[in-house]
Amino acid sequence: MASIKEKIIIVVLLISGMLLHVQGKNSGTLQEQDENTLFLTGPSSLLVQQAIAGPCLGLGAESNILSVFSVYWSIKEKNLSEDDQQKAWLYLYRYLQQAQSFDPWYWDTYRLTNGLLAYQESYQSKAVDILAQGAKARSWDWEMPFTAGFLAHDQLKDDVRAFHLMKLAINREGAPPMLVGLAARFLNKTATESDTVDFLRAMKKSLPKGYTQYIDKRIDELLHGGF
Amino acid sequence: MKNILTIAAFTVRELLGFRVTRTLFAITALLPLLAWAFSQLFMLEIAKVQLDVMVGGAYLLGVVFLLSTVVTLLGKDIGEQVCYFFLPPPIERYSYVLGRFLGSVVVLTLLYTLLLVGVELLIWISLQYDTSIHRHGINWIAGIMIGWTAWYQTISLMGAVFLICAWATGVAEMLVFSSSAAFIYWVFPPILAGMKGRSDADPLVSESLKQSLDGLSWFFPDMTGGSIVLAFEHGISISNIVIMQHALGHLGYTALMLGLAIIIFSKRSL
Repeated sequence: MASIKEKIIIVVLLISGMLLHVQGKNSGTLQEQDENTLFLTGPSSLLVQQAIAGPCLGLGAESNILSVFSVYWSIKEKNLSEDDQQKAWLYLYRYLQQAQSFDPWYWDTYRLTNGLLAYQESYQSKAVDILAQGAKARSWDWEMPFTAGFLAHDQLKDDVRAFHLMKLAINREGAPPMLVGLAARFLNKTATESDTVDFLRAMKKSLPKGYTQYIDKRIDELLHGGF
Repeated sequence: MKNILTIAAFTVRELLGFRVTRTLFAITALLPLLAWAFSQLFMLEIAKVQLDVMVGGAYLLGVVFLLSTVVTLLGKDIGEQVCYFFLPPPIERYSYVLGRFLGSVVVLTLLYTLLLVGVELLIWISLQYDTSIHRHGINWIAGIMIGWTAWYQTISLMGAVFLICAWATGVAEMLVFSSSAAFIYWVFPPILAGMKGRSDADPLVSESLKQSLDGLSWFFPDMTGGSIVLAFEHGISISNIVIMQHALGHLGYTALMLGLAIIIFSKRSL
């Protein structure tokens, strides 16, 4: 049983703790620090995540996608330094990669890869890699290889790779006949800017509003800048 | 056989009388709501996310059921010698083990039947009201596969729990060893699979290490039920042979564990 003296010390310590917390919250420097710092530490190794997830593979993929959301939120909403920005994009890429390892058929992973990663300079090739692997796993889907092919053509300027991916898309069941013409126009470089913009707008439709800024930027570049 | 059924019926009544069991049934009934709420955080394949939550719930509920009710029941029976009540001559000890096991399987089956109803309800709502993007690949069979794979995988863990309880001396010991077994079953198979994948791809890894990893894998039941269920959630069909092999592997593992439990329990002093 604590004596009255000990009880008073405990109460005083608790009150001082609360006061320090309130003071810290109101301090401009801390608030500013909070707005400019990336508090994320990046994904743990895939093996550790697999051990935690056990047989719940789907939830393993979804926990990585939730982390993608929070990293993207930090990139978008915080005023991060250049170093932190680089780190954040690296984390985002790794989370997407790990989500793919857990569930190679999960569409959200590829939509986020396509909407966010594919338009970052140092990650364009990696985004195409993720999408190309997704195209292999989602054997029923013509859209995935076509999108990967489009990005290889539009962002990487690698038409050999684009040709292989678009050919894969065209041969898939359910691929619309206009796809052959569109692919040919892209690869013959006879596609107009409006073809590319139309395709980007179609891709944008399946993304929520907050996640389209990089596609919007590319559309803007095409409409007001070079091809 | 009559003795086994009598003990099984008694076990069902006892387990259903536990407050923990009733709480687990209540959580199972509410799980679809949690799955629905969680899925709203995602963008496209929302119905698949709901099923993932149900899969996670199924495995976790199975483990909690085993540790909180089955181990408690067996701990009381063996630790406090309550099992004498079931073992007046000429009842054999194997009847007691099989009766307790069968009763626990029946209650687990009831729990997973309720879970299956929840899963099928989510699938029905999704098929009725979601757009094709949100419910891609979802069908009735996915729900049945979730219930079925979680059921036989939990039963194989139940076999191991019975083996541990047949050998251990009191509730504390049973709980510690059974929790360790559940932890190992959960954590080790994916680590082994990951290590095996890496060592197969790496030419620098020696053949003996690869063989050791293969050997170690034999000690654990194959928990790849997760990947079978995941494929069904996406509408990808898997050959019936693979599914049957997986289920039979687990049932064989269960039979082995239960056989050992009967031998040990028959020889131990009570």
